[in-house]
Amino acid sequence: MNFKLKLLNRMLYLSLIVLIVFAKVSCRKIDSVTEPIDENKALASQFFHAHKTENPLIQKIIGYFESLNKKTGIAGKIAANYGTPYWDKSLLHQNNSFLTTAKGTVDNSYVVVYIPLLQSYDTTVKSQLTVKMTSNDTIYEIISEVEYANFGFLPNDTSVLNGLKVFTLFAKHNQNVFGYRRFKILDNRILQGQTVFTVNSNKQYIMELDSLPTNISGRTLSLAAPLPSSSCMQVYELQNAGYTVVYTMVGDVCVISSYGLGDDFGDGGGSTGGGGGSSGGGSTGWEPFTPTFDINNPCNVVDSLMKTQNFPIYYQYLRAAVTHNYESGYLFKNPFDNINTIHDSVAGPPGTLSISMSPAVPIDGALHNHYNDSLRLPVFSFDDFYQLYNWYENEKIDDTRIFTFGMVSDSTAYIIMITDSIAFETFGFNFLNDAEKCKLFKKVFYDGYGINEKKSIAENEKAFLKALQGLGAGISVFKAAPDLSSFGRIHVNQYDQVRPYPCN
Amino acid sequence: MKSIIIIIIIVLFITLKSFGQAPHPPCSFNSHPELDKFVGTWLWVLGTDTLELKLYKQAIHFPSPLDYEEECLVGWHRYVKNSNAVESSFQYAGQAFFGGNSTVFGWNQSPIKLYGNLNDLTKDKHCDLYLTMTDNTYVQMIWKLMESRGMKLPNFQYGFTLPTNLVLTKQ
Repeated sequence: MNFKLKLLNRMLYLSLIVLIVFAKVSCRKIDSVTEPIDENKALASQFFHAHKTENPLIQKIIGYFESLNKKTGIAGKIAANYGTPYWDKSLLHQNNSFLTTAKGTVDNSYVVVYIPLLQSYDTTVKSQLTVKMTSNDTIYEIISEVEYANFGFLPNDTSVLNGLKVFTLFAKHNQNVFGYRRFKILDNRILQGQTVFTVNSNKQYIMELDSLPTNISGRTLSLAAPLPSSSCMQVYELQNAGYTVVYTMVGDVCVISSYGLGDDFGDGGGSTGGGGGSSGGGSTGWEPFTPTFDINNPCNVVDSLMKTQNFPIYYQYLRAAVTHNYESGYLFKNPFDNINTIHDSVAGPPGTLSISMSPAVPIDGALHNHYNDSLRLPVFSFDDFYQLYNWYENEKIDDTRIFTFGMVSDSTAYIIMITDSIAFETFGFNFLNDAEKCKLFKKVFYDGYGINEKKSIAENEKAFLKALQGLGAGISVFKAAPDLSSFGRIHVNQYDQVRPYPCN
Repeated sequence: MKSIIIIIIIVLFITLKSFGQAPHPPCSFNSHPELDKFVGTWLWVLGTDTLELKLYKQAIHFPSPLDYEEECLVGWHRYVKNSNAVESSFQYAGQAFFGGNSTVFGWNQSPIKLYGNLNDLTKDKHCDLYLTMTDNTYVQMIWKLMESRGMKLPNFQYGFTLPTNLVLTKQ
């Protein structure tokens, strides 16, 4: 007995030594990896492995695509053009039926799985992979949200999609991935797909989903459309948030005709959604409805800023200005007050890749661009951080809950927000509060994490996120869509992948 | 027995955490022998103008949450123009990095190229410094100074006190 215990103890000590050696060797190996990675292979790997689930049906579909990918490389192409599948958020629609024909009974059962596809900067689900499996065949199709009108608007009871069913699918995806439950209908023709109530083309409808999960591990999806909310709860929520709400009840349907200061959506979906309607291309027929502005939710703050009059224009202007040979920037205050927003535009000296920005009073935000130059960075520089910390220490930031610090290059744009002030202060104390610590941070930033102009945008983005996360900077990073129409929070997940990082 | 299991769990936790986010594992020592060729006294002379560098290799502890040691190049400079001393940090040369008022700090970008920081004492700012060996005898290197990239504080003084392009010779 005693001998056995001693042996066990020795084995445990031996295991401990092996673990320590393994840890050291492994760390160094990871540090020294510099081999280039095949972009398509990397994307294909993301396609199959990110957000995976052990669900047998999904495994079967993944097997189908793995086989197809060997011949065509389709996985990397889908990931590049439409996004990475969120397998674990897939929706399932089943139909078990048998057809009686002259030749006998035929199994007409099928399963359709709808898988959301997301790029790392997406703030809503814009595409889905549809896979239909029958007893003897598997087919797939990719549908983008802007194609909803191509499916027509007539009510139907069959498995055939119409505009309303496409909306339902994307609404469910948005609920499962981002937690959105309410959607403003921008094209009222979508509602013609139901027969429960008469659609008033001149009114605004808000569609509300129930809060129960419908993903692959939850309930089977019913393609019956959600009805517009009958509780009018959103009216009370809006009123509690200080909005002036004009609404009427049409039967059980709550119809909001305007809310807020000047945000009157008047004629509603009938006219505003027309652009996406007839051709099915270009714009979507709905958008998440999140009118209650939550100042403590940084994603909500950024989304709300993007709906203001001036904030999106600053980014558009600075994107256009990257062709100059100097940096440009804005300091601003009161961004939510469209009329009384104050801004100051600044330009840096030509050819210096730098800009001096000096707020005279506490501000609500700043942004600058990195103009086209071989030495420019696609992310923030070390000096940018030093500036942010300096403003924070000298009380030039009015309210960290709404303060945004942005940068724009020809192909990237990011916003950072201080979302954990205590962590940011600790980070600043450790790396930014004297000349020697600044030197160390500069080395860690450019050398340790390897942020430099020679690396790809994706590599720099990941390195930048890892630096902030690894140093516990208390900062949230938001990445812009390529057209600067939205910003979505991102992070590096436990699998070393850059992924959306919703706030709720 | 229990303590061994706890130690194993702690080691595993630290190891897994360090995989994701830090440049080097905590408590590690990271040596850079390729810095040795930059160590020493370097001189540039043009008429009555001189620039001298004293460069040392030092192991520096990077603060929490990194908590590792890494060898870096630490140095001090003296600039004389028309026989008049313009600026110098030589009185501190050889001191330890923390509290040592060093004015040169760098790391290898390649075996023959160093990138880092030069403190312009007159303009009270830091600049980007590139030192590149001219050949494999390692007795001469090119000095290149540039404005650092990024946003600047109020009253930032653009331009340089020291020459921006020259060749230093090892003494």
